Amino acid sequence: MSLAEEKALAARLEAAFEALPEPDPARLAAIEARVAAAAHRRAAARRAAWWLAAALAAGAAAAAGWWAARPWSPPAASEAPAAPRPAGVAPEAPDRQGPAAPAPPAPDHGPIIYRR
Amino acid sequence: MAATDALVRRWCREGDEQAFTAFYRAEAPRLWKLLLARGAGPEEAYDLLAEAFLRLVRTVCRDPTAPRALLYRIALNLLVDHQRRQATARRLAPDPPEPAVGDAAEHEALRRLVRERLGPDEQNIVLMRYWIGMTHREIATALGLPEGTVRRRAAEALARLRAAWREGDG
Repeated sequence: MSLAEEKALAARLEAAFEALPEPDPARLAAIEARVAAAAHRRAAARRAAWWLAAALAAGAAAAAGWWAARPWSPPAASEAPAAPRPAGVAPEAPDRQGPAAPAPPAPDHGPIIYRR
Repeated sequence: MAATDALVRRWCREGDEQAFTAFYRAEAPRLWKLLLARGAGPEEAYDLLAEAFLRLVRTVCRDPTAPRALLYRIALNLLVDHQRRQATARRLAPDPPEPAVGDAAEHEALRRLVRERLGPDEQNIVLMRYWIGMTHREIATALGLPEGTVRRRAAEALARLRAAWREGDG
């Protein structure tokens, strides 16, 4: 089919279907009111969700800042600095105060499961 | 994509309800007529139109790339479901069309040709392409078909209509 033929038939099709009866404006307006109300509710819900997310993000940021400041611990400047170790002194052994405590004696009887 | 698509995107992005209303006013009358052309009665077409727009409101902002195509997809799916239910519930003969004269007779003949010679998908493609003026890509989105398939089937359907129209003239 040539392009001209295609265009001619397309124009006929358009005319044929445009000639269908038009919808009742009052019915369309009634549907429009329902659709607009639904669109309004949807937009409001999306706005509410956005504000909630923004509030949560702001709260999280504030909590992170508060945690970083650590208001419950003493200020870092008052802590005594660690004394420097003299040169040539070996570092202390890690937390060994004396000989290891003896293990508790093993029981000299077996476990009593049942006694009459 | 359609010029009206930007209105829906604005509603999704900024909550501009006037934009959505403008989209409704631009698309509703033609969608109602399409539903009529595809076999719905006038009352059914109003119900399907309302349901299609309400469903669009609920779903479109998840992916507002092609709102008009999505609207037509929803409406045509609703129509198919409705016709399926009707077919099982009752079988009524359609009202005989009033005898038409002149242009009206030619229009009615062409509409009947579309109904009788083309399958449901082809009718959708022909109407959306040559009457509504949708792009092949939009139709592909609306019908869930590859764009190449839509292009090929549109050309085939138009050629078949052309042949049938000539046959009727001769």
